[in-house]
Amino acid sequence: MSENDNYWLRRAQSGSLTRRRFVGGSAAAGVGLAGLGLVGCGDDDDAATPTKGAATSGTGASPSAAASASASAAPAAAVQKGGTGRFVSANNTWDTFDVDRSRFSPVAWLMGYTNLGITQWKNFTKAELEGGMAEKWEQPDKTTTTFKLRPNVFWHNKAPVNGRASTADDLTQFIKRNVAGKTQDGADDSNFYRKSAYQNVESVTTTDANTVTVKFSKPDPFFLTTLAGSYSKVQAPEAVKAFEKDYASLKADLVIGTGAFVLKEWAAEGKSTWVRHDKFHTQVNFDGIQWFPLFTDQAAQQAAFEQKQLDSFSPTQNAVIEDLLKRFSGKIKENKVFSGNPQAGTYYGGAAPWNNANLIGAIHRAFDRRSLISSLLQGKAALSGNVPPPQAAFGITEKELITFPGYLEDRAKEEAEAKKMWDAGGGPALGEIIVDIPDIWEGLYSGGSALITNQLKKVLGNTFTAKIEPYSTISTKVSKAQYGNGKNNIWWGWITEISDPEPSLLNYLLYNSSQPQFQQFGIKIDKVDTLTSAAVLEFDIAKRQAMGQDVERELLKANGAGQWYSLVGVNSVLDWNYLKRPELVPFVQTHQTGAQVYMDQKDPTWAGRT
Amino acid sequence: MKNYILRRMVVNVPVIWLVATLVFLATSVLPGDFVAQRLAAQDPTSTDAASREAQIKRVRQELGLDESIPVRYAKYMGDLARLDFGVSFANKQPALDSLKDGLPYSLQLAVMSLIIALITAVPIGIISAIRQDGPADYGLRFFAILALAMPNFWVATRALRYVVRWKLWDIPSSTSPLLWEDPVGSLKLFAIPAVAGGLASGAGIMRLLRSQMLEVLRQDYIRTAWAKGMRERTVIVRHALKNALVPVVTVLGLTLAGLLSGNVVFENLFGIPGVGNKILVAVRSRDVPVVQAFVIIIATFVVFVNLGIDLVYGLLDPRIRYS
Amino acid sequence: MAQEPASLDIAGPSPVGFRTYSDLSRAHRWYVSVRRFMLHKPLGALGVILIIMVSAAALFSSTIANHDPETIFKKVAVNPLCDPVLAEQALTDPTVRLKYPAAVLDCGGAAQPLLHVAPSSEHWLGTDVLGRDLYSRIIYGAQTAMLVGLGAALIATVFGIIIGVVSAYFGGTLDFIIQRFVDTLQAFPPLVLLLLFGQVIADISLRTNIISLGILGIASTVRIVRSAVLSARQEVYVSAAQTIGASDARIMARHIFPNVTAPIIVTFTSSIGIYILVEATLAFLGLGDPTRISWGKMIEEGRRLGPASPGVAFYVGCALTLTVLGFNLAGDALRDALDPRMRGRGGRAGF
Repeated sequence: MSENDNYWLRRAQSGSLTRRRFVGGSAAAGVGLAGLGLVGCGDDDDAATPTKGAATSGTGASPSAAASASASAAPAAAVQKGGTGRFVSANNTWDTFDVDRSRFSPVAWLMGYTNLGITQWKNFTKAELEGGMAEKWEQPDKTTTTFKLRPNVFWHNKAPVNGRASTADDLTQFIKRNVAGKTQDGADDSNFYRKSAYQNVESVTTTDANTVTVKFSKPDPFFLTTLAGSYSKVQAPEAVKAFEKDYASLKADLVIGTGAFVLKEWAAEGKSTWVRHDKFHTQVNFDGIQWFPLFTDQAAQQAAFEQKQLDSFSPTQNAVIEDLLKRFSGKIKENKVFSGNPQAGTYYGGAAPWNNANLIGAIHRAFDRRSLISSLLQGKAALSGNVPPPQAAFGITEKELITFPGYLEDRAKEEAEAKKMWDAGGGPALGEIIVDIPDIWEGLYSGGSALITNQLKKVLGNTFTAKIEPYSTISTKVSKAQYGNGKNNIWWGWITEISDPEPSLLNYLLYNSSQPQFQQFGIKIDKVDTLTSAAVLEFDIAKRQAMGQDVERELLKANGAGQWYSLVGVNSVLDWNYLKRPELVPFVQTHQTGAQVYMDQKDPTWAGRT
Repeated sequence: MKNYILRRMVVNVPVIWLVATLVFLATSVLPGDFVAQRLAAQDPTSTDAASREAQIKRVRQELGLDESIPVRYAKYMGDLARLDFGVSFANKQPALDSLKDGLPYSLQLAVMSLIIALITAVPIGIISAIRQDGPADYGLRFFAILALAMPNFWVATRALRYVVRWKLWDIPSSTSPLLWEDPVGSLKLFAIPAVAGGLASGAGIMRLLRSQMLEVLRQDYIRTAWAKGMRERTVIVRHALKNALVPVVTVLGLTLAGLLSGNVVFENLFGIPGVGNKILVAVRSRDVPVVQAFVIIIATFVVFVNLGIDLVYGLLDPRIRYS
Repeated sequence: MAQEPASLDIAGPSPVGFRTYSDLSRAHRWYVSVRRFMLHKPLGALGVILIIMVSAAALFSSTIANHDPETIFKKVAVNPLCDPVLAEQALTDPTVRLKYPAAVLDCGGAAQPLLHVAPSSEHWLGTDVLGRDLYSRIIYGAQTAMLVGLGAALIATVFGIIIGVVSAYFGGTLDFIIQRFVDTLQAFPPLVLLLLFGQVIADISLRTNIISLGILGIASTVRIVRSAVLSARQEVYVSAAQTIGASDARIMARHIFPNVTAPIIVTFTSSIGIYILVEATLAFLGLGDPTRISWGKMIEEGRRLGPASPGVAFYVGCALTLTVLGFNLAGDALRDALDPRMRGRGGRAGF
C-alpha cells in the first residue's frame, strides 16, 4: 500500500498546494527538501510495496531493532554523530499547531520532528511501512486491525503532559478524534481535513494496556498508510484538552509529542529551535535542529553554505550548482529529487468552449513542454502525464508517453496538428483567451507566463493574455468550474501536491464521476470510472499499478480529462559530505531526521563547521 | 504657542480618522479575504464547492467577517477609540505584538541609515555650497545625484557580492543579532543595508542642504557678517548653517518616519525580521487587524513628527511665530 | 511665457547681446539657447542627452534593438555529453534523470537555449536567464520605464495642479478639508498604499502601478502648487483682475497658473526619475506587472544567477541608473535655470 491518507485527504478535501512551499523559490525548497531531511527519489515503489499481510510480517516486525542496532554500532565505528543541523525556512505560513486540523505542510514538517504517528514510512523508495508509536500491528481478518503499543515511548516534558509514558489509550483517542471530526464541545469542525480517510472505521477500543483494536465497516486497503501520513501525528489527549482553543496562537509550548525533537523556540518568520528528546525510544542522531530565515540574495545564500552556516542548500540555477560543485569538488554532493508539485493546468470540460476536443486538444498540443523544460527549467524537469514520474510505478513510461499528442518529439507536426484542430474547432472565433497564472509560480519562474502565452499565440494565432492571480482566486475558480464553462480562459501552474508514492485514491477522487470533486472538471469516461472504483478496493498492489497505467492512458486520450499535465521539475539539493541521508523523496516526511539522517563529525568536511 | 499646539493636535484628529477609515475601506474591498487566502493554500483541484463554502462560512463567522461592513466599521471605530487594535487573524495574538517584535530591527536599521546619511550629507552639502560651481561642487553634486539615481536594491546586492567575493567579512545569516545583543555580528549584518540606504537619503539631504545654504548665503545678514570681517568658519557654521538646517530637519523627520515603517527591500534581501517584512506578509495574507494597526500607528507617528517639526522650526528660526 | 527663454538667457554672461538675440531666426535662437545651456549647465545637458537616449529607446525600440525581446535563442549542436544508452534508460526509468546531468540524457538533437551566454557580436550584452537577448530587452524595458515615469508624473501633476490651485485660491473650509486629505495621503505608509491598491484591483498591471504611483505623487504636488499660488495670490495684478470682475476660473487660469509653472516643471521632471525607481523596486519585489519587460524584474532575474553570472543584473542596473540620473540632472538644471533664487552665491546678476 502506499499511501498516507493525508495525501488523499488533502487532495480530497483540502488540498495541499501550499503556496509557501514555492514562494521564495530556492529558500522554500530548502526547507521542503533539504531542511526537513525528507528525502528520496521515490519512483519505484513497486514490487516491494507491502500488501496488508506483508506489512504485518515484513515491516511490523521490529523496526526499532534495526534502527537502534545501527545507532549503537555507529558511534563505536568511525562515525561520530551529533551536532545541530541548520536548515533554511523562509516564507512558510502556518495555520494551527493542532496537527489534526492543519493543512499547511510546514506544520507537517514541524510535527515530523516532534510527534510520532502510529505508523510511519520506513522507506519511500521501497514503500515500506514501520511502526511509530505502535510497535507492530496484526490483521486477524479483513475488517480488523490491532496495534501493539511500543513500550518505551515517552511524551515531551512539557505541561500538562510532563513526560509521562504513553498509553494505548493515547492512540485510541487520536483515532477517535479524527473519526468524529468534532471539537470537545461536540461541534462538528470541518477543519478535521482528514476525516474522510477514517470513514471506514467502525469502532476503536483499547482492548488492554498496550493494545488498540480498530474495526472497519468494510475492508480498507489504505488505512495503515493513512496512519503514516505526514499530518497523522499523535498528540497527547490532555494537551488536546487543554490547548484545543489555543492551538492557533502558535506557541512552542503547545507542541507536545513523542518524537525525536522537542520544540524549544518557534517564530513564523524567524528562527526556530528543536533539541533532542532524551527519552525518545531510539537514539537521536542530532543534538538539535535549527531553522532560520535566510537572505533572499543568491550570493549571500551561497556564501552561507560555503561557510557551513548551512548544511544544505537548494539553488535554483544550474550556473550556481555547477560553480559550487566545481569549487568544492569532492566535498559537497548534489542530490536531485523530483518536485512534489507537477505543473499543469485544469479546465472544465463539461461545457463550451472546452467540451470541444478539437479546441482543448489544440491547446494541449500547442503547449511546448520541451521548450519550457529546456529554457525555463534549464533542463531540470521530466515530462509528466496524469500520473507523474514520482509515482512512475502506477503510470506509463516516458517512452509510451511521448507517443501521445502533446508529448511528441516532432514539434513541427505537433504545431501543424494543433493549428488544424484549432481551426476545425472554430478557435479563431474565440478571440482573446485569458491564461491565469499563479503569482508565486511567476515569482519562481520569472518570465514564464510571457513565455507560455507567446508560445500559444504563435501556434494558434489568437491573443493569449497572461493574468497573474493569487492561488486563492484560482482555486476558487477551479472549484466553481469557471475555467471554460462559457469563458475563454484556462489556467496553468502547480497543481495537486504529491504526498505519497501511489496515485490510486487521488485518481478515484478526481476522475471518478461519482465523486464531488469530479464536478470541477466534468469529463466522464466510463472506463476510468470502472478502473478507479476497482482500484480503491484492490489489495493487490500489482493490479493497482496496472489499473493506474490504464487510467493514465484513458486520461491522456481525453486531453488529460480536465487536468492538463505537463512536467515535473527536478530540484537539486547540495549537501556538505558530512550530512548523510538515507533517501531523498518529494514527499513531506521529517520523521526520518531523528533516526535516519545524521552528520558525520569524522568526515573531513566537518572541519570548520562551527 | 500653547494654543497653537492645541489647535494643531485637534486638526490631526480628522487626519488620523481619515487614515483609519481609508485603511478600513481598502481592506474591506480587498478581493479574497483572509479566509479565502487561507483556503487557497490548498490545492485548487482538491475541494468540491459545497464543502469549501461551508468551511469559508464557518471561519468567517469565527473572525467576525460575516457582519455587514457598517457594523464592522462601527465596532472597529469603537475599539480604536479605546486604543484596541484587535487580534491578528493569523496567530490570534494582539495585532500590535507582531509589529512590536519587528520594531527593534527596523529601528536599528533606520537609525544607522540616518547616521550615515547625516555624516555624509552635512559636510558635503556645506562644501558644495561654498564652492558653488567649482569642480568640488560638480563632483560632489554628481555623486549625490548618482546616489539618488541608483536603485538601492541593486546597490545592496552588488555590495553584498563584493563582500562575499573578496571575503571581507562573514555575514551572519543564521541569526539577526541586534546591536545590543551582539555588536560585531550586528554591524556585519546591518552594514550594507545601512550604507546603501543611508547614502540615498544622505544624497537627498545633501542637495537640500546645499540649496538652502546657497539661499542663506545671499541674505543680508551674511553679507553683514562678511563685511564685519568674521572668519569664514564662523560665518558658515554660526550664521549660515544654523538657518539652512531648518528645512533639513523637516526632511529628517519624514525620512525617519519612512525608515521606521520598515525597509521591505533590505529586510527581504538580508533576512532581517523587521516591521517591513511583517507588514508585507500581513497584506499578502489579508491579516487585516495587523495591517490596520500598522497603518494607523505609522500615520499617527508621521502626523506628530510633522507637528514636532513645525515646533522645531520655531526654535531654529525666530522669524516664525505661531499664532 | 516669455520667461523661460529669458531666464535661460540671463543665465550666464551672454556672448550675444539681448537685442541681437531676439533678432535671430527662431532656429538660430534655439541653437544659441541650447548651446548656452550646454556650456553653463554641462550636467543638465548630460541629463538631457540621457533622456533623449531613453526616449529614443522607448519610441523606436524595434529599430534600436537588434532582436525580438521575447525570442529564446537556441543553438543546434551535437551534444558531446550525450549518452544514448542512458537516454534510452531514462525513457523507462525516471530515476535516471535524478542521477545524471540533463545534458547527458539529451540525445534528441533538439536545439538548446543559450542561457546567459557572454556578450558577443550577435548578442551585444549576452543573453538572460531564459536565453533572450539582453541588449534588446533593456531597450524594450525603456518603454515600461518611460510609461510609468511619464504616466505617473502626468497624473500627479494634472490633479495636483487642479487641487492645489483650487485649494489655495478659495481657501477657507474647502482648503482645510483638502489639506486634511493631503495630510492623510502623506501620512499613509506608501508601501502599504501601493500594496493595497495593487491588491484591490486584483490584477496587477502596469496601469495599476502607474495610477497608484500617480495618486501617491498628488499630495506633494498639491503642497508645492498651493504654496506657489498662495504667494501669487498676493500679487497686485490678481487683485486688479478681481476688481475688474474677472471670473474665478479666468483668474486662476490666466493670472495665477502661469506664475506657478516653474516649480511645476521642476517637480514634474525630477519626479519622473523617482517613479521609475519605485516601479523598478516594486517589480524587483515581484509586485509589478509580470508580463511587462521591466528593468526591476530583470535585475531580480539576473540576481538569481548569483556570482556565477553577474553581468545580467549589472547591465540592467546601469540602464536604470542612467535613466533616473538623466531625469534628476535635467530636473536640477531646470530648477537652477527657472528659480531665480538658485542662481549662485549672491546671484549671477550682481554682487
